[in-house]
Amino acid sequence: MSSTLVSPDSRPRADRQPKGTSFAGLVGVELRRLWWRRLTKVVVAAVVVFIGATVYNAYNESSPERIAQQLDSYRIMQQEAPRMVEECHKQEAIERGRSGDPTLDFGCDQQGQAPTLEQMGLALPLADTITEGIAKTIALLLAFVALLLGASFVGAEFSTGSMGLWLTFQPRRLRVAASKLMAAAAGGVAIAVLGLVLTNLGARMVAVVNRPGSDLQLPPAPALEEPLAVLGLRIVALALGAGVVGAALGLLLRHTAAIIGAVLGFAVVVEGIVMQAFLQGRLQPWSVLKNIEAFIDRGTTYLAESCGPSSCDYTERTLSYTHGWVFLLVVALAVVLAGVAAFRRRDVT
Amino acid sequence: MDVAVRTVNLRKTYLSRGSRRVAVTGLSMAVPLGGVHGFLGPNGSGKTTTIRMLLGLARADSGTAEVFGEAVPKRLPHVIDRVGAIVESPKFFPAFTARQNLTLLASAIGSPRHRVDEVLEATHLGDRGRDRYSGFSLGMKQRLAIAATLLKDPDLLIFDEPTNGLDPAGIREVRDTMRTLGEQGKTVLVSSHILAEVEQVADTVSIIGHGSLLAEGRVSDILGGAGAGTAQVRVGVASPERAAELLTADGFTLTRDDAYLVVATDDPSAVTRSLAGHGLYVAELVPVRPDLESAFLALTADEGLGSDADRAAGGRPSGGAA
Repeated sequence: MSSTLVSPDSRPRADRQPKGTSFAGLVGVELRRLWWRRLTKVVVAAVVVFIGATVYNAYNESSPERIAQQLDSYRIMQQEAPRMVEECHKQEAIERGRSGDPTLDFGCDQQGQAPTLEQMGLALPLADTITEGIAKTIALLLAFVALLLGASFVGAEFSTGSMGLWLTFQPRRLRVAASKLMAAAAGGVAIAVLGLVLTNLGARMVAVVNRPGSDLQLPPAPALEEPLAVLGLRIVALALGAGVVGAALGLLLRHTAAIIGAVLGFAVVVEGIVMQAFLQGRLQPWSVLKNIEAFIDRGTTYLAESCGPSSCDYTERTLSYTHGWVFLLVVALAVVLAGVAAFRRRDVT
Repeated sequence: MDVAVRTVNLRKTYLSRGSRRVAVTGLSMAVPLGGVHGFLGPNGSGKTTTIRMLLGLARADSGTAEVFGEAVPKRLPHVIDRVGAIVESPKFFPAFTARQNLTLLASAIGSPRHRVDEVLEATHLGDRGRDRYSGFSLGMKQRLAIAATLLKDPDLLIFDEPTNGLDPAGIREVRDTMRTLGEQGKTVLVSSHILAEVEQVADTVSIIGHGSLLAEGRVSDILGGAGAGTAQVRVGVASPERAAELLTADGFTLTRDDAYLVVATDDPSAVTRSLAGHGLYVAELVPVRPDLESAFLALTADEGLGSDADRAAGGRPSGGAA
């Protein structure tokens, strides 16, 4: 008795043959696979939980009770200022007498100038201000999560061996690589947008819930340096790039664990040790993390040693926004080119 | 002869621990259009590497390969829709269901969604479509892999060791499937080191050893070559010792095979006449036909592949038929 798994199909050949798919269709297939993955759901849940915790922290930090406590501390500081100045002058006089130097200056008058409320960070909790604070805090996390998602998305295909089967359906490797990179980019964007939307919603709730009563006289928060949407776009772009780099590393290293190991190793050895310990901080313009900071904060500073004719001293230097994004773009392009070239050339098992 | 697959002087080396290991060297073979073609060789003889090169998964160092007249891997995209392949063990996403895995593949080639249901039904997995692939038995995985190849309605199916790890029912299922596909006019290229399996389904074979072709042609031709001039019968009698003495005395050449005698003769009736003349009556008389295993062992022995070939034949003795 025959136990065949196939039977003759009487339909015309044209009805049975696949019709092929466009590149956009292929990206759609990859996105579907990305969405079906368990890790994607875990990442989404982790982002929700982390942002929930961050918003809760912001809620605690800006609660009316907390602000009232800070205001009390501020008032005590104001009341204490004249006495502190008086005490300072006394000490200054004693030291002048002891040393015989009448020009000795303890800078007592400056101590008498109590900081403003704004300098103390005491201001009305506004949604945009809270959002900006949280968004800058979570930018790096969102980028790392996007990188992990992209890396695992491609790495798992190699480690399960399903990449070989996939290539027997789609043998054009450049097309396959491009579709995977685009899907990883879209995944990074989705994660960042989710994170930012949740942050903004959470911040608005905090601002409403924690709106102080009329008994608390607070100055308005300083105006943001740029529209919140612009910061949001930069964070989305960072997550997009991280997703693409993660997928490209997947094409290059072919195993999620290897990629995570390489990324963490790079972070510890290169970013943590080499950049800080060698050349007295002068390598920092080539630090990925420092350039991410420059990109997100529209410029940043770092300390590096400068030597004059007689001595060396650490001075603060600026890393510009332009340097940040150009550097990150070049790094991302290099990784993508290496990943795609390796995928195109190497055998697939 | 119309060919579905042709390779000319194909060569592939792998870099392993700093040294180059030759997997395929100067392999030239042709798989005729239609029917089942066995691709035989001991483990490590280069079968899977050759298949990988045909599918564009591995790059040849030199030589050429063609599928349906198109050079691969360069022109592979033009014919890939006509090729379905299972290379080594099936490899799908373990956390996805059978249906999800097939849906992704179907979408990648623009196959209609109902085709997924059709191939699941055809491979008797219709009620397991929602189960995760990681929970599948090896037989079910193999059936899912066959389902995947059928998504394309291919003209060429490449099965690499398709019955590895299957139970007898699964082996029969795969064997019958290959035969049916061949009868439908499709070309089935099946690589295997289990010779009995291939002998039952293949019309033609290519035998390779150490990465190069040892023999190629119709199974009957290869068997004919292996068994030429050595027609034998296996004789079962009540007293084999005495029968052996009598037949030897009558000029027959024979060997012992446990309780049986294997007698070389073109005329089996002469054996029965000889024994009956001495009052011994034959209980069993079976012609011993040369089989692919014997032919394979003879070929690989010529190439110094004895130990590999023994393993390929399942470690069984040759039976003296070659």
